Amino acid sequence: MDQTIDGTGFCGKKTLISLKGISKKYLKNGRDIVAVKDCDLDIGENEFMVIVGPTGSGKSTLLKLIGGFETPTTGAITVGDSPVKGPGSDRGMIFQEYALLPWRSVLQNVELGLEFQYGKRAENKALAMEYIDMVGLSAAVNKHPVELSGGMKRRASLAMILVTKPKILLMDGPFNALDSKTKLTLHTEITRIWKHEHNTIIFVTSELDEAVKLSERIAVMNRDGRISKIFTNDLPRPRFGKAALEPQFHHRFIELREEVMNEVKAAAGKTVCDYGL
Amino acid sequence: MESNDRGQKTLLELRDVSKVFKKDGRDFPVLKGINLSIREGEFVSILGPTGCGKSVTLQIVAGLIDQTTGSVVLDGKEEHGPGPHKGMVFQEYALLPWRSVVENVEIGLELKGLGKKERRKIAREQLATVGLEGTENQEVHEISVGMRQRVAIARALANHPKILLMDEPFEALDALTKEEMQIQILNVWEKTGTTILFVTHDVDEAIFLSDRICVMDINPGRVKKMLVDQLPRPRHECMSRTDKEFNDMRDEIIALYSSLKDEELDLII
Repeated sequence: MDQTIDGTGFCGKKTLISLKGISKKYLKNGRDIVAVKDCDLDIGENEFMVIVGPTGSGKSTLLKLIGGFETPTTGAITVGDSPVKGPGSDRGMIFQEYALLPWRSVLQNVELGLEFQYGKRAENKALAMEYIDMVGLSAAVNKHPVELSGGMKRRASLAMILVTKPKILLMDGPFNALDSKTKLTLHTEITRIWKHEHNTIIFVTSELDEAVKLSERIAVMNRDGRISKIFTNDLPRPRFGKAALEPQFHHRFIELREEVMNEVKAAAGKTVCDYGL
Repeated sequence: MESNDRGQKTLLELRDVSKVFKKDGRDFPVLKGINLSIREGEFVSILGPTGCGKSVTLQIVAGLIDQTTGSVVLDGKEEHGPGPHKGMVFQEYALLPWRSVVENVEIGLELKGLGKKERRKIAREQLATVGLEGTENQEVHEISVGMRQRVAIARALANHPKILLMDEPFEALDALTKEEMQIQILNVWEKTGTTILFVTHDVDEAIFLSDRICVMDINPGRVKKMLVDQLPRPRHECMSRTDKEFNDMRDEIIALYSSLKDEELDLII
């Protein structure tokens, strides 16, 4: 199942993002904390990579390093041929918290991404509407964030990033704390968007169900901040609805989740693992 | 600055505002006959338990939702919809995480089309007003939650709003940070002379901050009593919340809610 990190990319996909010898240390209460240690990782074009690991394993930090929101202590990250030197519009980052301006409607919030990048343009509205439709929020275009449920706010935040057409989507637990029905809808949607837009997605989560449903590969990080193992997810698609209920699919799904689970448990050491099933 | 040094001009008026939510073909009245008048420079809190419609009232003033009947008049003009003249600071910080601290403060100015130099100057001034000098280039995720809320305040102030609308802005903070923020917002209020309408379900917070407290009742949400808070100013950290005046005021407010059932009374005291 596991694949060694060989620097050639994944499944014949051309390497888009390359991490070489990445470590991140920071000082906390006078002590050096190692968040990420000696990470080598190549991510292919249009790949859907999920990163899991116990709390404190540095998975969010790794994502922020790729986003350019943090600078590595050692090593280098490249996107295409360019080194990452800071945040850039080629990498859209979706954080756990909502990023909506309360005084702007859903439409105005989604237009915001375009306004910052291109200024006010006639075509902004139509483009924003297209992406609002894509995340299933057409009925709420003129509503303000205070009128939206948690799930709707996530969708609006997602559309706000997607509309700028980032080549790479960095998602940090974007569906945490949503109810299971909303989550299922958003899983289906993000899969559809990924296929339609051909983005490369790096998705951090603490839920293994989510990891197995979405990913092409799953990287497990351990308490030392290292990538301990990378799983290739060979489950066929679609992975939702009736297809997911086929016994053959289901068995393989459980099997893979179990394998990942065991690796996460090992990564967490002997302490109680914070992963539910 | 004492509140009575400020102008006596009425800035904001809610005239017989009501709100009915419709759900599954049924009417749910959440606000009934709200009349409220706020003077320029005043600090007014709307206090009440869950279900009294305090946040809905603020959202109507902000123009985020429409009232069913009645009107909102700000500076002599009837209000429709949101605008930068009404600064909003909500419980969720609503900062854009991919922009730095100073870039978040600049959002409104940038959208208004101000040049980079000018907006940076204003943003720096406002960051200083909320005590965040030197943090401008930090990323939003690097700063504490209390600091994020200050950034949100600076962002609202950067548009020179006529009024600052705050909806339980310190609710998600730990007790110590909450108290620091209460002092901070009084500093901001005194420095800028802005008018503040502040929603809370924390009785002590309302007493500590306000010139007047609008005590709300539930089912449907309505004004129960308008109290004048005569605690001396400046209040700041040296003020004790166990002084007789403070205690009397707290007792008066609690007495107003004596008819509520235990499960309805989720005020923080």
